[in-house]
Amino acid sequence: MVKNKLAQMKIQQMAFMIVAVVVFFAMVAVIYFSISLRGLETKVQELRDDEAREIARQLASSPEFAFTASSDCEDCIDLERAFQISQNPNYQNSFWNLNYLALERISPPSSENISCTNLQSYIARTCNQIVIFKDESYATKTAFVSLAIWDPTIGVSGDYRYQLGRIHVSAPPIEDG
Amino acid sequence: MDKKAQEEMVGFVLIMLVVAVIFLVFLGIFLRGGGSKDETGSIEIDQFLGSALQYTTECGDYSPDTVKELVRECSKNGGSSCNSASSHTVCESLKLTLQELIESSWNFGMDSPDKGYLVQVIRETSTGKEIVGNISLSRYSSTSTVRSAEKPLSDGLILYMEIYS
Repeated sequence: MVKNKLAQMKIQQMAFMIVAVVVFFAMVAVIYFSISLRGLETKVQELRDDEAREIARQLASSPEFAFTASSDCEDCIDLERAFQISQNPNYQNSFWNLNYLALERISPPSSENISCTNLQSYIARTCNQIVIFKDESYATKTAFVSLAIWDPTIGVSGDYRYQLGRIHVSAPPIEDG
Repeated sequence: MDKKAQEEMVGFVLIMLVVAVIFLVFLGIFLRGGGSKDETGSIEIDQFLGSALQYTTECGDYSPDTVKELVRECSKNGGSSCNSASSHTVCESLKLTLQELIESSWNFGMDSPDKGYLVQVIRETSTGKEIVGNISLSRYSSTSTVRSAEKPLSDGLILYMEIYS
């Protein structure tokens, strides 16, 4: 009888131990996979952001914005063209299926962060943004670009000045699945 | 009976040891994966470097040089004056321009997603790499996630940038 009880105790002990080990490994697996999947989500978001930046960058090479006066500046945006497009009603809300498109000068900096209504105020640095079109508000993606503008004060007869800027684009979010 | 109890204790200790070793192996794999330096190229930094190289500076005698021209000039005649009106040398002007561009493009700080940066102008030679004109701007952070990109120029010159997140 005593021996039977001892055997039962042994079996119980082993069962508890197996359960404890299984629970431990399950917990480790859950923690490991949750951390791995969280990293995957971040990676997917990063890839989407990079894709949006690439779209923004490609816009700089489109015929509407491309700066063709110099062959040395592939990703430069011609600001005069950009201003003309911002004034053209044919481009409003129908360009590349985007609902927000704007250019921003980063450097040289402006005194205020405001939208320009004409090229003169942009040159005078009283404003720093050119909004090509603006529809509903979505989270924008940005890409660094060079902004080329004619500066008559450079040299004897003037030359193009290249500024550091950002292109902001916004499109409806990509549907999952 | 005493011997039995001793055997039980030894068995228990052995199991605990096995479990602890497995846990440490898991922890080691996880830490090695998460803490390593992420050297994958960043499109954002690559775009920044490309645009920054085109930037028109205030340096140059007849017409202002771009950053790309300043890098080349700094590697050849770094000590020469920027222009007749400036007291800065070419390399000093390049350093100041790069710093201005970086600081106006990113917000660095402990509360910001980007904690710090490193920008260097490097020359790659057959013997190795050297920093050109002492152009090494940095704002270090203790974080281990690093995004980096580089723009090769002529004569083995490279504009290199790292951002710590």
